[in-house]
Amino acid sequence: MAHGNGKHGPGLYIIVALILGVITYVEYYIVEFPPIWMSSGWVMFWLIAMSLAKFLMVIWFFMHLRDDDKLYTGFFASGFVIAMATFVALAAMFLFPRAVAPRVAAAEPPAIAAHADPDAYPSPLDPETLARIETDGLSRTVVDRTLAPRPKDQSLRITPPAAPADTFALRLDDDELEDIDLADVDIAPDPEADPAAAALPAPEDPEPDDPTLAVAPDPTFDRTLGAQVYTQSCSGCHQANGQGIPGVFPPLAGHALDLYEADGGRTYLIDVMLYGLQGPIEVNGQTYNGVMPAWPQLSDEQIAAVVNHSVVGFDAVDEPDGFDAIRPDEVAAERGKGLTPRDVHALREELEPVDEPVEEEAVEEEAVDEEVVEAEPEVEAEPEVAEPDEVSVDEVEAPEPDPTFDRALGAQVYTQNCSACHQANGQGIPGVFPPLAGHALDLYDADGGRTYLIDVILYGLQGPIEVDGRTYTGLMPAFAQLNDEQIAAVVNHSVVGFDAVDEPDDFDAIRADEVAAERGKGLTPSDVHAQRQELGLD
Amino acid sequence: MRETIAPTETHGAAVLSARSTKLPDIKLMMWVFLASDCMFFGTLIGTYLVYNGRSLVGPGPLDVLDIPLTTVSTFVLLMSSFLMVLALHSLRQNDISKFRLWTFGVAFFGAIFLGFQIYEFRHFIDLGLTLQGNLFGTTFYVLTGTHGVHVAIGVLWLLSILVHSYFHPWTSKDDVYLEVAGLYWHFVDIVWIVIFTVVYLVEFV
Repeated sequence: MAHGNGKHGPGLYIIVALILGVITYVEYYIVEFPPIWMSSGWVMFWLIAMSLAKFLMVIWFFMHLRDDDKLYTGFFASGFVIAMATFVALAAMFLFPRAVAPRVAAAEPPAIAAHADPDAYPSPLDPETLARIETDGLSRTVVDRTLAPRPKDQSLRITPPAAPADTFALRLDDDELEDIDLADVDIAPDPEADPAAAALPAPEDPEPDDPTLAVAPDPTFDRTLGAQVYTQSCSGCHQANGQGIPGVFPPLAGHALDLYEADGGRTYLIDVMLYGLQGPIEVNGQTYNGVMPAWPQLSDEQIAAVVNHSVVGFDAVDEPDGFDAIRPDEVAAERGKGLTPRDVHALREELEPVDEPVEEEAVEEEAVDEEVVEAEPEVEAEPEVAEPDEVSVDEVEAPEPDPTFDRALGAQVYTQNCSACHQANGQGIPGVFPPLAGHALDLYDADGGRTYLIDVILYGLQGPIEVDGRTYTGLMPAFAQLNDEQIAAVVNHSVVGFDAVDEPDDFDAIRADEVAAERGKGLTPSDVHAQRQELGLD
Repeated sequence: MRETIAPTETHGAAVLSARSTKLPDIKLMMWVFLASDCMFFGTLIGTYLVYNGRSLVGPGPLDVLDIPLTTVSTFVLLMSSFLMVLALHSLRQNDISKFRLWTFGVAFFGAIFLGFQIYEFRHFIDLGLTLQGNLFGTTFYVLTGTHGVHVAIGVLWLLSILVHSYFHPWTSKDDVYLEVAGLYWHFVDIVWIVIFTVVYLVEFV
């Protein structure tokens, strides 16, 4: 042959193939058993170097570029260079959105372009757009992972519970629905700002899509829709009038208004709805460390309306004169940013704190009469009445042979962490939150049920389950932050602590050391769901 | 080596025409095609990477990917590339029976790789990873699926060469036809080398 293709014997090929095989094994080995002396950045470097070596060996020896016409190399190399350039351009668009910012600026109307970025160098973009650009695309790219590896537990991603509207309707009887509607209608906007709304408290035309409204503050939004979405999707935790449950679910009344007024708060509020929120936050001196689920399944109009409702829709909140309602197109602009609940938490930390603790005090007294609300004092009383044996506040162990556990602690942990969804006596809410009374005992009796119950608390639960003929598809959050004693106590409380449940004679209480043994298993909520299916109860 | 094409020529040397490059057209065409395929896969891999970690819902890469399994299938594909050079070498030595054996080996190893991929896809779908489910599913299936289609085409190509060799006796003069198929096969292999690193290994660092 003209280019001497035949002159290498198979010996060379065998050597090359051996090296390729060895490199593949080494790649596998350093990923599965990373050497402790090698940082993840270096592991990444060597992986890329080794695959590049394999790549070059194959084209050089197997594809004979080594001793073939250089024209072939030229063609292939140009294709490869174009491919790399395309890749770099693509990555740059996501990594450095500022690089494409001048085009965006050209499209902005001059009025908005007049806003200047206070810090750093002057930018022609308004702060909102800047905030969006700066946070967009900077999460967990290859570069990020090299510099700071992310946690490997992907169970932290939240899938919102898909709860159909009609099941939520079961929670409220007609009277309550009327109450809520009236309450929302009462919140008429400032008559000066919008006389039409004050005169006739009917749903107004939100005019959401008109971009000209962006310039002047426009307090109009679909108030009926906002109240409706709030009742269906939010009030279960944040309560009907946005007062929350101290220490468990943060209040929205007043607090959402503070957030709205903070720099960057508009987009933050939208992001919380779209992507959820995870991480410790502080509201009015109380710390909250729950998980706010994401609600991306709501439409842009619904999210805009419910955010506006949360900001100005509660009785206790006076709508500020300059209120500029969040528009659906702002929600649309936030979609596709692919934030995680933790990213949203980071956004929150960047918000300038605005302190206005005045409203909340007034709110907390209200709405205690709502039946939906499991206000704390009420609930705490119930288990004490319910429990015939030991419910003193001090640590007293029940006299039964086996079944000793800290009943007071169990009831207390249950009230604080579980009762908002599973209700004070474990009856749940049909179709939305599964009952525990009786059902937890069935689980306890099942083979493997003891560890399953512990795992649900430690790792949460995700996936469709069936209890008493009803299907539940919500998300049970993990409560790994509770200590072993608290988890053991609350599981025992769920199994035998409710009025409606007769404690079996041979009840063997779950012990704290069993909880400790389940920790560190690193299960995901889906794993726990799989475990449940093995119990054979559904 | 002939400098012009005689009208009666039918075997592989015919493609060595008297162009200014003095290179076989079919081989040059294959390299140009591979260059364009390079851009194709470059775009798919780039898309996978920029959307990596942006899925709103699971399952994510760490939930489904299985490194030991994929290491084995990567090794199988690498070894098929090795058999490919052996097949070409045997053909050039006019060792037709070994040429057929190695060619069959390449196609067989390629089929094993496809089997791994089909198993993997079915398993992932069982785990809830679908084409429409999240960004990871979309970009992963499009990228690895496109590669799988390349492998399948390669397997069919090699099998048709194998069958053809029984009806039309191949000699060392026909080597360019096998060489072109081999170039394609090696290219599919190096694309997998990149995918294995970028999609599978890096994820677990």
